[in-house]
Amino acid sequence: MPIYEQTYRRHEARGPLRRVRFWPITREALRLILARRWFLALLAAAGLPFVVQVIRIYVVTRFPQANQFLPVDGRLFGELLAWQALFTMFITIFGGAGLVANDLRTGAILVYLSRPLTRRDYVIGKLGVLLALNLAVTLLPGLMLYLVALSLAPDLFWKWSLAWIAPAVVAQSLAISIVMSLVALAVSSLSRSARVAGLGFFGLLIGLEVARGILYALYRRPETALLSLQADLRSLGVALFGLTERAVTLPWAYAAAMLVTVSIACLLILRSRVRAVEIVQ
Amino acid sequence: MRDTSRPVPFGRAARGVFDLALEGMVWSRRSVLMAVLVGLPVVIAIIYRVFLPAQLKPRLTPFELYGGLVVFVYLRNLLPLVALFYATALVADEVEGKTLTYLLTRPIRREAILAGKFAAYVATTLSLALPAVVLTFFILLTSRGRAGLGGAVPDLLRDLGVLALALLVYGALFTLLGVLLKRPVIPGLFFLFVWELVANLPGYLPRLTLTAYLRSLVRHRPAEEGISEIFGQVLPSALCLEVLAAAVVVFLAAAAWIFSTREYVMEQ
Repeated sequence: MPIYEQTYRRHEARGPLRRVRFWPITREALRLILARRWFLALLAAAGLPFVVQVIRIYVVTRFPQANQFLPVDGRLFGELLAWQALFTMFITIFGGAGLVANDLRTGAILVYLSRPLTRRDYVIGKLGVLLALNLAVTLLPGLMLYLVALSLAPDLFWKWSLAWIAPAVVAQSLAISIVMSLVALAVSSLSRSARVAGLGFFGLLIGLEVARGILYALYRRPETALLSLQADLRSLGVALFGLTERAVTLPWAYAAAMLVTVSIACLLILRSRVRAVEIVQ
Repeated sequence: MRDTSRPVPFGRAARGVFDLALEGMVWSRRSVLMAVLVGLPVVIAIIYRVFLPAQLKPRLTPFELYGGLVVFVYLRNLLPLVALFYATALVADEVEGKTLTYLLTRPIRREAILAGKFAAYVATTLSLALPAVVLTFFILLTSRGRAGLGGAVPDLLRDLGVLALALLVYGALFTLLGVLLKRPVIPGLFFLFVWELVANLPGYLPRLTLTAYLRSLVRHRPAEEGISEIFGQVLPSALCLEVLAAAVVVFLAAAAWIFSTREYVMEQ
């Protein structure tokens, strides 16, 4: 073949071995995280609010007059998820702070991306770890509590008028898990140290919440909730479960729009930080 | 010539480590991150003073807002986080970067290494936090003229002392956690944001927290809401100072003892 016909050739390697390429990343990271005893203790501690709410339902079924001061209705599930949202912060730091940061520090990201994996596979694989962990402490106890409520107090919960509870639990759990996971991954990709990333994630959430609290105390304006991711998630909870929270009266559509914006921003950060090249300065 | 059979004197060794650690702490991206966090109340003060009064009528006076920022923002949230960030890293950073070996093989006592690093932590955090508090104070309290400013300055000085004490005591505690545990961040966060809530309970339980003593030392306490409004206790100042000083000594002594006896194996 003449030399002038020797141009760049197309990639002729075999196709990927499997369609779901992100799964090994998720599986191996989950295996490493779940091998830590402290993490299992944290997961167990995250089950406490569920136990408390089950006891609450049981007490009301045994002593119906307790329903007056311990109301058992749809709000119960919103309160459970509000508690679980606190645990997702700790679980996200424990499980997610180092997910990208450690790969950046050790250079493992180059190894990942030199395989037949795209950046999207890598991000979905890492996101899958956090989603699995966060859904395990939000969706799972939420739906289990609904099943327990249906079996313990069918006269209170087995009604068409309360059929919205399960979809509401799914929606709120997904919102909490997706937002927390994306923010944690984005922060993790901005640092090479898991410790810095973890504290950065916590500092971001706490800093924004503190700023919201101060501005709300100053001006009593519902728009201050837009500043804080936690307040936005609580706004969704208020709308979905009919909770009453004085400090969070923002219409849910604004809160949802803010959460979507933050999620897109996190994806853009991940897009710019997760790269198969390392620029040495 | 120095007698090489003996370690470098404690003071000189600690000073050397202090210089080295300070350089790494002050001029780092992490300190920029912390400066942003600590500067948050300054931004709120600027918003209060410059942007919003024209459109919205604030419900708090400048001095009430300043009190709220000191107690709820600096003392309760930001400075403990700053302490957790820096103090857990004093040894962990060296372990993570596998550079601890170079420090430990020098002819200096391990206690001197910890003392130098802790002194660098104190210098860094004080130089980040205290100017921000002073700036917040003056931005807020001069927003309606300078009347009453002189009377509030003693409160500012007292606040600066309490905040410095908070950085010392939380720093000592998290230094201990940093040398004791491999992953001190989660236990530290649990201590700050779960255990410290005990300060709002009745009876003697608040005495098992650090925040109850620190909060009691601040003279201008803003009105609280919820459970802390009912049970919030003010402990005697002398008791607070004694307990906090004892806590600093105990935590640092324990950290120094653990650091000097522990064998560190670097992960390959």
